[in-house]
Amino acid sequence: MTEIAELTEEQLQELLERLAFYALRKFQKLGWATKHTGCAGPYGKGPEDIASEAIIQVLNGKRKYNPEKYSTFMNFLRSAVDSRISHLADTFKRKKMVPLSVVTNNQEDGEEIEFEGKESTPVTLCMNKDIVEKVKITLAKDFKGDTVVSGLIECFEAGYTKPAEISEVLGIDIKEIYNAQKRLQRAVDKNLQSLKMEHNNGK
Amino acid sequence: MENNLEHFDANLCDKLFDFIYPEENNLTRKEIQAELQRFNIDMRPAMAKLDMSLNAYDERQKAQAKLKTVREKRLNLLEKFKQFKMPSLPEMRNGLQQIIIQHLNPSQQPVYFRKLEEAASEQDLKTLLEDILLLKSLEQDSKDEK
Repeated sequence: MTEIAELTEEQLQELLERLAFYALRKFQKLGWATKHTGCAGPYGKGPEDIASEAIIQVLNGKRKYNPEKYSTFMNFLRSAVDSRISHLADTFKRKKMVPLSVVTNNQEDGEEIEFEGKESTPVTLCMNKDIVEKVKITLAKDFKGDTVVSGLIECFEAGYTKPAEISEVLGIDIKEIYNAQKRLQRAVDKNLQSLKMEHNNGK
Repeated sequence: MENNLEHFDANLCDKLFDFIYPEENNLTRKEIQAELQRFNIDMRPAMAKLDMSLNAYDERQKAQAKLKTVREKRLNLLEKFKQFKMPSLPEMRNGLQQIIIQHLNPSQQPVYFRKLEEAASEQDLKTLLEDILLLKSLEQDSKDEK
C-alpha cells in the first residue's frame, strides 16, 4: 500500500497515534478502558495493538483501499480499526460460550466483518448491554433533576449532537453545555471502572 | 430524567460517548499524545512492530521489482532469438562451437561441448544456444549487481 509506505517516520508515528486514539475511544465505549484503571481489551490487547494491526493488514494487502467506498484513506483505516475491534469483541464473546477445544484454535482465523466506513459506527453493534445499563443508571442516579443533562438526552434522540446546536435548541449558554459535558464524563468514567474490573476478572 | 431514559439504548449511549469524549479528528497531535499517556499507553512496541512490517514490505517490493526485471530480460532475449534467422545444421554446430570457445570459461566448456555432441536435431541446437545465452545473461546480471 503505497500511501503508508511513502509516509515519513514522523507521519507514520502520528498516523499510529491517531488510530490508537480512535481505538481508545471505542475501547471506552466497550468498557475496556477507563481513566482510573487504564486499558486493556480481551487477550491483553491495547488500542495501540489494534491500530498497528490495522495498518499492517493494509501493508500486507489483506485490506485494499477503495476510494469509492471510503471518502478518505484515514476513514478507510478507521474502518479497519472498527473491524479489528468488532472481531476481537466477537471472538471474546464466542470464547466465553464455546467449549475450550474449539477456542484453542487460532483466534485470528475468525472472519472479519467489512463495514461501510466510519459513519456506520460498528462498535454500536457490539456495545456491551451492561455498559448501556450502567450509563443509564448513572444518568438516573447522578443527574436526577438535572435539566441540562435531561435536555441533552432529548437532543441526542432528536439527532442534535454538537454543543453549539444543542445550546441553540435548548436556548442556554454553550458554557453550560460544556460544563454538563465535563460532569457527564466524570460520572461515566467513575461508574464504568467497576465494569472494567469485572471484565478483567472474567478474562 | 427518568422519562427521557425510556428510550436510552446502545445508539443513544453511543451518541453520549461521542459527546463526552472528544473525537480524534478534532484534536491536535499533542492533545492525542497527552490522552494516550493519561491511559498509560506506550506506543513504542506498536511502532516497532509497524517498522518491522514496513521493512518486510520494502524487501518484498524490491524482490518483486527484481523478479520483474529478470522476467522482462528473459522475454526480450527469447524474442531476439525468435527473430534470428537460423543457419544450416553444420553451420549451427560450427557457430555454437565458436560461441563455446569464445564466451564460456574453461570449466564450463566440457559440459557444453558434450551437449553439442549429443544434440541431434535443429531443435536441440536451438535449445543449447538458448541455454548458453541465458547463462551469459545471468552471469552479466550478477556482474552488474556487484
